[in-house]
Amino acid sequence: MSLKKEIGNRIGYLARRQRFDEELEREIQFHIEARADELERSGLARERALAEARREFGSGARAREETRAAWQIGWLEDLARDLRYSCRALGRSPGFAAAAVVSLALGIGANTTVFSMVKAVLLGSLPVREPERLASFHQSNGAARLSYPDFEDYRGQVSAFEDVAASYPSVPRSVGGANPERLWGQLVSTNYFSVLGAEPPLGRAFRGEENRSRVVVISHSLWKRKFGGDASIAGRTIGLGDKNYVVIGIAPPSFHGNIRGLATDFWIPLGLYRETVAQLGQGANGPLEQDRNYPWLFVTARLKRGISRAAAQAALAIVETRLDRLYPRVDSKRNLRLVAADALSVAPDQARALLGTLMAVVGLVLLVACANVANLLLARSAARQQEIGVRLAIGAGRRRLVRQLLTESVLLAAIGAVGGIALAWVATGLMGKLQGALPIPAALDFGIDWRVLVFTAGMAGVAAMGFGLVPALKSTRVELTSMLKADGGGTFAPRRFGWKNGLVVAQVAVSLVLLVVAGLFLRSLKNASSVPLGMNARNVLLLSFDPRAAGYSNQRAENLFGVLLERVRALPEVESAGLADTMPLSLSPNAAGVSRPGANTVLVADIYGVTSQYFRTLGIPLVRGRDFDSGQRPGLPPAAINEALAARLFAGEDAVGKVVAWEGMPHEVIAVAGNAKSRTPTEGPRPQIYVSLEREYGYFWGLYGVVLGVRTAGAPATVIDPVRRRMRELEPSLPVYNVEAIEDHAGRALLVPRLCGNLFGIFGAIALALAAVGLYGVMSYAVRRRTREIGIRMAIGAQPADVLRLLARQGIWLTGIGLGIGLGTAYFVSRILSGFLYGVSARDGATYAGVSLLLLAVATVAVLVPARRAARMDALRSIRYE
Amino acid sequence: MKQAECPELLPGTLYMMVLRTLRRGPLHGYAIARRIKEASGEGLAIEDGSLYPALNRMLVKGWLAAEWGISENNRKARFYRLTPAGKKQLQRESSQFERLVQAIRLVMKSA
Repeated sequence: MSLKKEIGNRIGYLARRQRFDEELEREIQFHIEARADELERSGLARERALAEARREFGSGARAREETRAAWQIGWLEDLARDLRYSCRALGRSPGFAAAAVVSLALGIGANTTVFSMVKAVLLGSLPVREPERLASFHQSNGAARLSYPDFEDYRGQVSAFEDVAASYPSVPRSVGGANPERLWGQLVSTNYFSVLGAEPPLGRAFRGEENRSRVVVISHSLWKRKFGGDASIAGRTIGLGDKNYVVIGIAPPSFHGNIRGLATDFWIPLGLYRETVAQLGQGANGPLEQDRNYPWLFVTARLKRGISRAAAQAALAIVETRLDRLYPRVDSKRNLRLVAADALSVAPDQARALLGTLMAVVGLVLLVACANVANLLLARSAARQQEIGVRLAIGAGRRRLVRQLLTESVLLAAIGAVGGIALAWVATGLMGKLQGALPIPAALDFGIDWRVLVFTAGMAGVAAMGFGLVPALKSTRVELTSMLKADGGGTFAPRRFGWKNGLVVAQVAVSLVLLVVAGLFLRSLKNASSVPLGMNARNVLLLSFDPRAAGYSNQRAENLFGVLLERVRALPEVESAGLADTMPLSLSPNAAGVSRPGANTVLVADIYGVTSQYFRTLGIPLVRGRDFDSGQRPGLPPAAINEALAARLFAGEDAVGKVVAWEGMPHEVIAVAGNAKSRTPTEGPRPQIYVSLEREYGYFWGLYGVVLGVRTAGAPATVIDPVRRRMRELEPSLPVYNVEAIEDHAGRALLVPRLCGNLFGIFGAIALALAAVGLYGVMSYAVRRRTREIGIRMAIGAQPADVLRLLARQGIWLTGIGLGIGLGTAYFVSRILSGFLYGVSARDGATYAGVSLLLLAVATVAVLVPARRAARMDALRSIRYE
Repeated sequence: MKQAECPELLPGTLYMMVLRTLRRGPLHGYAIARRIKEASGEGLAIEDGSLYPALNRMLVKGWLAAEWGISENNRKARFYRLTPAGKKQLQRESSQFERLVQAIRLVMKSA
């Protein structure tokens, strides 16, 4: 017999249950009538015959029940009944249901959000053929950069590799006519797509002989965005920067190369490096194909089938040793590690640690939420004791009741999970927007996919068991007689320090920890945002553009700068305008070694390439000397240094007119500038050196391109259009991007403390609210349980104040224990945090005291409200209570 | 609650007898009960209350199919009919039953 068919039959039954019952009724009716007909024929009157037939048939109800049972899938029917019952039960106490669902939604939402980050940053997601056979070359601090000859040797000599591909990321190119866009591409070896297993579904990949041909594979998203998904694009010629390329293929959808987080829109052959990235090869010894000391390539290998990564690692080590012997490197031995192909290429360990910490924090939040719901459930089961008692008394099995109560918990968790997913959806959307602020388009996919949903569902299930099991078991383990007595007391009374109290203490402790952390971060943020920046970050508009993406040579770009500044300064609204390769307070300014010529000590200074009026525009004071100018004077190239660097290099002397060398190149100091913040507002004064962007643009490779700063008399937004128009007139192919007010730019530098402060603040506030609800619940419960006792006490002369004290003592005790544990934990936790704080000690007394007082105040209210209600009770009424 | 002289059904034989009864063509529930009673020389009677659960269990298993029709006395009735799976089941059960009875008989003779 076929089981599948049987299951199909049963499921079919579920769909037509209503009709089934009617049919069964008709069938039984027919049976009885047929029998009655027979009896009538043998001489009975119709009435008597029917009665006799009915008697013979016996219990119709039992037959019906059993017949129905033949079709039903037992547990499913039970589940449906439990669910219906749970819905009704929750509907009866909407306040409880809302409190529980909101707690869970917040807890689960926070976890889902963080897990979607974990997924985006750490979990594998390469949409390629057999990604598990791919391995990228890493060093201890992230992706390794290899020289071309090394890459060729690994490719040819490591037997465990099927093939090896190399790529050079971050090649900017402008594309598109009227409003050119800056795109990021990669230079790749011609075997790139076949090694990665990402053969273009439309068109083809590179051929071996195309290493120096102007051919391009474009990303699926670029194809949709810029070319409207036109399938005839393959074979057509498109402009990238100043050169034309033949499109040969479209990469698979959602494939962005294997460098995680980097959105790549096109791939061109590696052999074109010289004409596409002018800086590549600076300082190299001959062509890059032959220079073993010029590391520039990211490398990914496809392992032979059946070879593990560990085995490949061993095979690689042999070749490394051989290469070390033949071509020793100056600084260190070759020491490569094979990791998953799309492993994070920058700071993987830090990312893992950060995300781990975040997971722990949101786990804690969920724990608080669960504790709270468990507490609510316990309080409610006290109120439901009679109902449960009746059900037990009329024969419901305990197991069945526990299942019923757990169904309620699961239902709560499920609704909470739906709410949590909705919250996470909003939160991940916001994170996606934050990515836009990075200098290069990031492609971290925070979206909620099936892995996140599985995680959320699993967590909701665990949470449901976590908060539901104990209350369910406790409330069904009872003595019937005491429960049915409608006393509302009894079961929990003997335990002096039971689950409920323990949960409240834990809630108080956890919320204290979170609030202390939030307080520390917020104080730190306040300190950091009131730090003087050393510049006037107001009324300045920033616009970025990238001459290199448009195919400009360094020389042409330097000429462009002068003309561009002239045109922009001619606008009436513009007070001053200057250029920089990177604005201060960006993520990554360039650093360079600076020294006095001939001196041995080299200082590391942040280096900026700037033009005339840069200092005026940003409001950085020139303490001594003169501004840069556009003219090409004879003599040494000019440089400006800040006071911090001047003090270190030329202590007690006048720096202007002296010579400094950066990376060995002598410059004449023409000015000393005030100290401006360079990376973050919280740093101490850092040495800085400024050189002329109009003369030395070739040394600046920043991902930002070039930033134009425009100081305006009025609101900066009003000059956006005129400035853009001027730039377009001057050079229509120049991509302009990241247009923003300097306040927004500077504000982003405080993103991390602001985000942490707000996040912990929100979590802490939630935890505090939950703890208050928990305390209130415990107190209300205690008051309810002790109503009669209180009445008796009052009848024999206790004053309301005595009663108040008696009751409040319990709540305050619990709060006190929670505070003690929480303070200890917070002290421990804040030690870990001290590196992230500015201007506030991790053991900041004011924060601890303030938070403790806040918590104590909230707890007191939560305790006093029910206690006062008890104290004001009429003695007689409370004795008669119930 | 039925005729006291009727022996208890051997467990598991109800299905077999219903299947066997239906081999000659579709019947409604009442007719099945009658046919078994008559065929056994009034020796066996199925409790009416247990007939319908059994019929439905066989429907679930796919041994029977049911459809509504008109009975001999012009009432709407539900007719049960053997499916190919039911025929196979009947064969299996009757041969098993045959062997069982044979074995029991042997034991009863020898002892």
